[in-house]
Amino acid sequence: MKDILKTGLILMVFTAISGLFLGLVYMGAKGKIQEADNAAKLSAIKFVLKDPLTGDYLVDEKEIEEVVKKTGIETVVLKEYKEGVVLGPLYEFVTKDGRDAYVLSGYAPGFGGNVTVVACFIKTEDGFMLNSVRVIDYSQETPGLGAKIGEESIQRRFFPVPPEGLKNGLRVDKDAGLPKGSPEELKKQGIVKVSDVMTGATITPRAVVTALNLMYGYLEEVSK
Amino acid sequence: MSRLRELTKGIIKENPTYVQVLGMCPTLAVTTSAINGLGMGLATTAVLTMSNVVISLIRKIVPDKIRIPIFIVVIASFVTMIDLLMHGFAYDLWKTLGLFIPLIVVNCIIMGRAESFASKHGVLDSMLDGLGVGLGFTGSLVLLGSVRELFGNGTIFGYKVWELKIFLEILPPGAYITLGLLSALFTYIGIRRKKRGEAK
Repeated sequence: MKDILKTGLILMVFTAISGLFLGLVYMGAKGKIQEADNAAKLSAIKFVLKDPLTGDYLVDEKEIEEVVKKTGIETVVLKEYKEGVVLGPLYEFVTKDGRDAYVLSGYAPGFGGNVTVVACFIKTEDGFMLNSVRVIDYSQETPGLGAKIGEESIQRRFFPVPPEGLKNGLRVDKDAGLPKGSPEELKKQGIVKVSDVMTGATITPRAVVTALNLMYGYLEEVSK
Repeated sequence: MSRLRELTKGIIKENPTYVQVLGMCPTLAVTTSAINGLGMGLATTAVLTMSNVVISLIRKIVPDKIRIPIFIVVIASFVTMIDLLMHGFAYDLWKTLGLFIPLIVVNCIIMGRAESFASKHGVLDSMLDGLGVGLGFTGSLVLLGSVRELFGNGTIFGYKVWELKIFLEILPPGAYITLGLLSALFTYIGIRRKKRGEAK
């Protein structure tokens, strides 16, 4: 009994000292961690507010920073669905040509964990169009397979999508029966062609598409 | 001379990856590119060196019966520190390495050096041992990552070398095949060095 107490006490001392050091490191790094997370999120918001064809900002860069600062950057759950979650804050912008643009994020389960996406939808006469997408978290996806979703050339396959493409729900080409056509042509029908660039990894792009459909559904719901 | 040997033994003679075949999980999983291998290797080296120093320092006050849990507490603390620091100061690399950073805790190279070396030797020797084995591990991951990236993607550290892309190389079978070939090369070098030593 005495021996058990003694070893238990020694273990407790070691864990307490380790805890103390960890606490100190966390206190020192906390600010930088917050800064890094916020910078990554702001950079994703800025990216999705660019014209996908010209690369020009649809909203003035300074205005983006002001709206983000005003609305807040802390992630909040806007709505939970069976297939995934829509996250906020919902940022509202007015583009240089006077259109309403909405930026929000969401996630759906991928192969190893959740795949988180930031997206910008622009309101048009025919409904919302998907302007741009940035996949910000795919850390649990298989390197070399699902993790290829991090490549910008692959993410570009998901946008822009006109309102008619979003209305029936976005699908990856494998789920649409692998139709023939260029990625740009298929996007108009709401089909994301990735089977040629992400062989053997359908679950990850499907998670991106699911998250985008949920965000679109949420926007439709709140705009009514 | 013996101190120099402590530092250099892990690089070829006792290379943890190709000679001792330890730490296979991160070796096979993260080496899809050279930069991933470098990041993982350096994070492991930092943990290995620091945990070796601390374990060597406390080796005389740790009761034999509970040495393993205490070593794990020390290693896990350093891994968590590295995870927090990478999150704050090397965000992109931290994102890329993802789950494999926390998994350094269960890397058998670290536990192996703690148990077989640091718990029996002085601080300086333990530090050199950790540094040497860590650098050997880093070199192995960079070599494996470079070969896989070169043949799988036609690049090294992101710089284009050629157009050739063998898709299999970045998939798990590519990791096994390349690791096997490099292990054979290291074994061959080891045999030649031994024969040359015997001849002298």
